[in-house]
Amino acid sequence: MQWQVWTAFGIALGDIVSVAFGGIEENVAWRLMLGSTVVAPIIVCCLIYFAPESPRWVSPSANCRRLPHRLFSST
Amino acid sequence: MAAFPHEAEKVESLTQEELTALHDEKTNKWKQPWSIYYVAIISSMAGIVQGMEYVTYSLYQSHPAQTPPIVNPLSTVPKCFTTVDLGLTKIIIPTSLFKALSILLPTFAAPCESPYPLPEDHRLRVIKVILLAHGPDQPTGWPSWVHLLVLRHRRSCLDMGGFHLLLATTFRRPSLPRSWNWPQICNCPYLHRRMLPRSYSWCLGHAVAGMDCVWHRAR
Repeated sequence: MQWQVWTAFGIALGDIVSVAFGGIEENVAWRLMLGSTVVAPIIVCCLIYFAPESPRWVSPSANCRRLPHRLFSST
Repeated sequence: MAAFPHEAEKVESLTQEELTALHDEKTNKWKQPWSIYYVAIISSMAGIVQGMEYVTYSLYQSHPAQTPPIVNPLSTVPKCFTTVDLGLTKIIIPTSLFKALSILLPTFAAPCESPYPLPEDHRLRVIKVILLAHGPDQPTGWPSWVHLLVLRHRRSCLDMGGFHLLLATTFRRPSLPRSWNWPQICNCPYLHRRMLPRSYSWCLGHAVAGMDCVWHRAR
């Protein structure tokens, strides 16, 4: 559900951005329309590097005691 | 743990901290480690990226400044089925029928010709696949047919802004872009009024020109 909600939000955002750039000069408008979709992926790309590793990745490569620690620890 | 989630206390290898975390999952479900919220945020942003790209790209394809055709999904179908000048109904329905037939026809072959035994309900299954595969993303999908019928039925009641775009983009573009969705296009007339500042007579002129073209080609 989370995925559906935020995809729908992204669709709304795309509509809003397209409307915002719809009134300006045609040749610039479509470039800004397409260019605006770059912003969100750049943020996601930066965030990915700070994301925790998945349990399946952690389990063979690290101490087994770290696995539940990483899953449940709030620190 | 997976088999008996309510008896976590009996698992000896769990530490007190882990037991507390498990207990919190039931009593205080919003108290989660930051990493879970972080992953949820990243995933949500990925969803935003997908949705935004989908709609922006669709609208870009129908933008007046965008002249060269990007995608031609109908290029595999013979030319006579995909002539743009044929208009709305005639471009969508023959193309879909052609696609459907090309999948459906082999299923009518005699069973002995098939290297694999087919179940009795295979044809029904193929029809289901066709209906599902031609989903809402495809210009030739069944939602397009349904919407087209509704559109033709209630043409006078519809906001003409959406209808402008429907006509104009059909007749000014050499192919239907892949990610088109008639309902999606017709549901934001304000957007199209801003992005496609053409008059109704301009669209009508193109429609008439298209019909003329078909007429001459047919002769």
